[in-house]
Amino acid sequence: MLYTRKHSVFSSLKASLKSALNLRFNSWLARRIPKHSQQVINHRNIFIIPTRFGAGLMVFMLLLFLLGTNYQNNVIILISYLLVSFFVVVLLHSFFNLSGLKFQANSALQGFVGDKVYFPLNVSSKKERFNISFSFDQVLNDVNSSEVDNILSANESYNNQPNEVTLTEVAKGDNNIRVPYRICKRGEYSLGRLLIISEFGFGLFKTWTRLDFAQHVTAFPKPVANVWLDKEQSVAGEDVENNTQSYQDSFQPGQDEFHQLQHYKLGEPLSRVAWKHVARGQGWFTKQYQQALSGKLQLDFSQLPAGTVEQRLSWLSYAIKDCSEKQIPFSLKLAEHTVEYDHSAQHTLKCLTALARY
Amino acid sequence: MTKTTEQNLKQKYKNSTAKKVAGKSDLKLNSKMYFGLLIFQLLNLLTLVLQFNFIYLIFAIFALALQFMVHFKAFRQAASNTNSAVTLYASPKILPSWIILVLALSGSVGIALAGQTLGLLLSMIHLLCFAYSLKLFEITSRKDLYQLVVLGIFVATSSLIFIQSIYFSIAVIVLVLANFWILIHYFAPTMALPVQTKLLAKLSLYSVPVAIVLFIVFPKLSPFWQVPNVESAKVGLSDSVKIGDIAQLALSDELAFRVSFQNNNPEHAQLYWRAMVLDDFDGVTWRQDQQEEGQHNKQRYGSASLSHTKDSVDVAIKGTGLAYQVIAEPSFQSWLFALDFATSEQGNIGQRDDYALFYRGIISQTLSYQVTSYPKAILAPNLSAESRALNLALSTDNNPKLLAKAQQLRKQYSEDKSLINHVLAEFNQQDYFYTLQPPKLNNNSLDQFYFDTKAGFCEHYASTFTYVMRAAGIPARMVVGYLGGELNPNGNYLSVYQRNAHAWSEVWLPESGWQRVDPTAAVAPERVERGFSNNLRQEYNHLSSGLFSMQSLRAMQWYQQLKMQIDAIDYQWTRWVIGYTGQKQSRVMAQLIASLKQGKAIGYFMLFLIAVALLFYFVKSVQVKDKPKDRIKALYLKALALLAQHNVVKIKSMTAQQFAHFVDTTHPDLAANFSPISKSFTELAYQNFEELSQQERNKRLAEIQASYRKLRWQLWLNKLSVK
Repeated sequence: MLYTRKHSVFSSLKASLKSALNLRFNSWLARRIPKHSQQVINHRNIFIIPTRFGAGLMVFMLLLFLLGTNYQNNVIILISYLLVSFFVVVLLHSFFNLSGLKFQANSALQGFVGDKVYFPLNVSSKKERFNISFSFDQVLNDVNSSEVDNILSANESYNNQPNEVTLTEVAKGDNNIRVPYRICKRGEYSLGRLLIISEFGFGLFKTWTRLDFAQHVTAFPKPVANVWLDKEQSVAGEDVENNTQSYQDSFQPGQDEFHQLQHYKLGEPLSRVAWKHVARGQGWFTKQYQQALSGKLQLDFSQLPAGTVEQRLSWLSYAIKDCSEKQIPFSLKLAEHTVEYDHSAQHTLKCLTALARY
Repeated sequence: MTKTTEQNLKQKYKNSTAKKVAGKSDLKLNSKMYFGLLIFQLLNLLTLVLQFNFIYLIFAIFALALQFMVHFKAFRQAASNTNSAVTLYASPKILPSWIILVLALSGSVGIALAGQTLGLLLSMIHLLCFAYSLKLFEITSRKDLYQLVVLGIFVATSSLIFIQSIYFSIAVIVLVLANFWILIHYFAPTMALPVQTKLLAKLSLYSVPVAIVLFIVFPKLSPFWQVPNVESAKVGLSDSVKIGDIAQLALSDELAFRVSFQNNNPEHAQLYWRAMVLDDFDGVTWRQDQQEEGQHNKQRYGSASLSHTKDSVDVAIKGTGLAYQVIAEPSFQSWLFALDFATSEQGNIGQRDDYALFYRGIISQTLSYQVTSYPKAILAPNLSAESRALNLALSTDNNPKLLAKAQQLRKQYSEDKSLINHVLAEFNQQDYFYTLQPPKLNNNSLDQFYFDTKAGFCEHYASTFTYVMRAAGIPARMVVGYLGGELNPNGNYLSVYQRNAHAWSEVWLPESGWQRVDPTAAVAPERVERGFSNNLRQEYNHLSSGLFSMQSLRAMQWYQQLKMQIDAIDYQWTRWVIGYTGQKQSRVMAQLIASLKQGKAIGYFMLFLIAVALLFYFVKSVQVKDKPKDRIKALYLKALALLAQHNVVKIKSMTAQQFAHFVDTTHPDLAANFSPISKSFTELAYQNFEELSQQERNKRLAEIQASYRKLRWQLWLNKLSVK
């Protein structure tokens, strides 16, 4: 018992020390390599450390030197010097393999929590380079990871997929790559640093840099179907209008009814078109439904059944996603923020972003 | 409680390591890589092939062949299934791991058992190579690949313990660096083979200068601890000589040692290289005296300081010294070779009281040492009673006739010198002759040689002569060593081969000390003066020609020349690389520093040159980065500055076109050259210059540069004419 407590104290101490070091390192890194959407890597921001193999080879060189000295064999000593010198040359070579690479990143990332999204990046180079791998260093600290694990328990398969992309050859000119990124946490936050590593040359050195492209991740809440929603839906069936009704029922009591006809606007769902009018040659109209009271479908955060904030946001996220797929117009009301009644791809995005920012 | 937690922890640890291993173990390579690994293993093992035990050789070949067959099959399958050979596959498990374990264990036990006969060094090498062979069967992760590469380099390098000739060394160095190809190919499999080779060659070449500087400058250290030595059969002279022994050596073309004199080369007849003195004769065999052997040991391990000071040996130094460097080939003995009377300042060289030099240890690899000889020194002006007794000792029962003859001669000549001359004259005038194929003597009888067969070589004569001297009461002993040497004019050094082995006598005369007497010179003077005579060479060739004769090839002039050249290169390598000892290093460094001090100006000049080269390189690299359009702009600005110097100033408010017009009207002579520059600049600034192809742009640029030069020339002319 004592042992475990000691151990835990020790480990927590170690963890805190590590996090403090990490913090310092990150702040130093932020000063050293400031964020920018376009970056060129050079001697200012490339780090090189020998790999374990490199360190092993150094020991091996020492061994050869000892062998040569003990046998007073100058040729063996010469070879050990040659290897030392080769080691240094390879150090420079691995530096030049990365140095001068130009990166351009322009798009922010969006996605639901738990999704794996791809960060598009343009890499341009004036010469051929080899074996460069890109990854986001998503250090899931222990507190977070348990949460994430809960969320991600369903899609365990992500863990097995590599979280990096490796280019065996970077051709001369522009290359477009997509770096996988796993969204773990709801909110809107900066993307973090992209880790660019190469061991090309001979595996003797790890040449790496961490770049911040000043991009944001907008992580929408993970869509979770609510039980009551499901029930309603199963009763209501597949019909679009009934579907609307089901949402209506879930958010507020009241009936929805035909309200008016409006002129068709491009992009409106065809299911809403008043085909009778079209057939009569009266032009294109869309049927507008309205609820009895407010007249429109409103997804209201405060009207949701009891649950934690995250849970409720997840339900809303599901509802928005569902509505968007089924092309039901709606408005969204959050505690301090309201998104107007509308229905389009932009609208959906706006709503989801609002959820993310909540 | 603690126990269970510990167990849990252990389990956790195990799990994590297991995961790691599982994650790493999917190393997949293409067949090119596997073949590369096989080829490099073959090459690395080939460097040591002469040292291998037969059983290991078979095992290694079998392992390689097995691997090759498996991968070849996989390669063919891949080739038939898909159209490319780039398909990756994990190394197939050819042998289950328990078989590998059993093999490893049994092999190690086998090597340990064979260690008695192999010797420590060779068994270590066998163990290393055995591990290298087995490792090829287990390439499951990247780590294994790394290990394989490092092991390969180690195997190739360790072959240098045995052979250090220049060609072999260079081949091994190239092979060591070539081993890195495996890693290049691993990290960039898409790169074409020539590109990979070029890259590797480039990096290797870049690393040569630093290595050379390190080699020259980094201090040479003495061995840190005793290492198992190379064990091999002794080569060259042996310390007990039976009559007829040297004949075997006389057929050997093997190099014994090489010498370079600091000043002039002495004459051939002066080059008596003393290796050892044999003073104990039992009637059949000449040996080194046992007592002296003890003394020798004492010298070797005890009072080392005594042995190489001049006071310890009884000698009166006269005349000027002759300095030279000897590079001895490994003989696996301790004898060193030098002219009389030799002194050496080197700590690892000792001197016996019979003036022979010896190395404190076994010469198992090329050894270079510096010697100063005083040919005119008097050896042992006073002979101790002990030494006198030793050098007069005779085993009388073996050669009674010779003994009787000597005693009779003693009565005839009271003076030592005339006695010696008489014996030598007899050798010369009677029908003794020199041959490498003497008739066989019964029981190595000197009597039989002297009175019956009368045919023999140096050993016969020296042995007989010494015996006669002793019988006549003159202290005498036999010396074995080498005579002469072949001058290589390309490197100005002497090569002494085993066939130059020689034996002669030393007699002690009052006043003049130990005197060298070579009875062979009396029999065959040309042997001493020029080495082999034509007759002897023919005989020699006849003897040495084996299955296919090299005689015709030897005779060819160009072959001789080429051989000399190759040997000269090897000599320089041996002298400067293999023989680059700590002593030599300090000398070289001192010289370097002195010359730096002396030629400070040269040093500064070199620095200046380097700085200029760097600057040039920098400017060039910057220029290359410039786009031609910037260069046109720069040229335009330069032209403007030039014109301004000659009072044609562009006012800031003027546009380029206006200025061109202005030049056109005021200085029509300049306009022809200025207008193309101006035109190009305006085109660049206001029209789309990008559309031009690179080639055209360069052409354009060249044109403008030409007109700029013309403009400059014209302005110069104008200026001069105005003056």
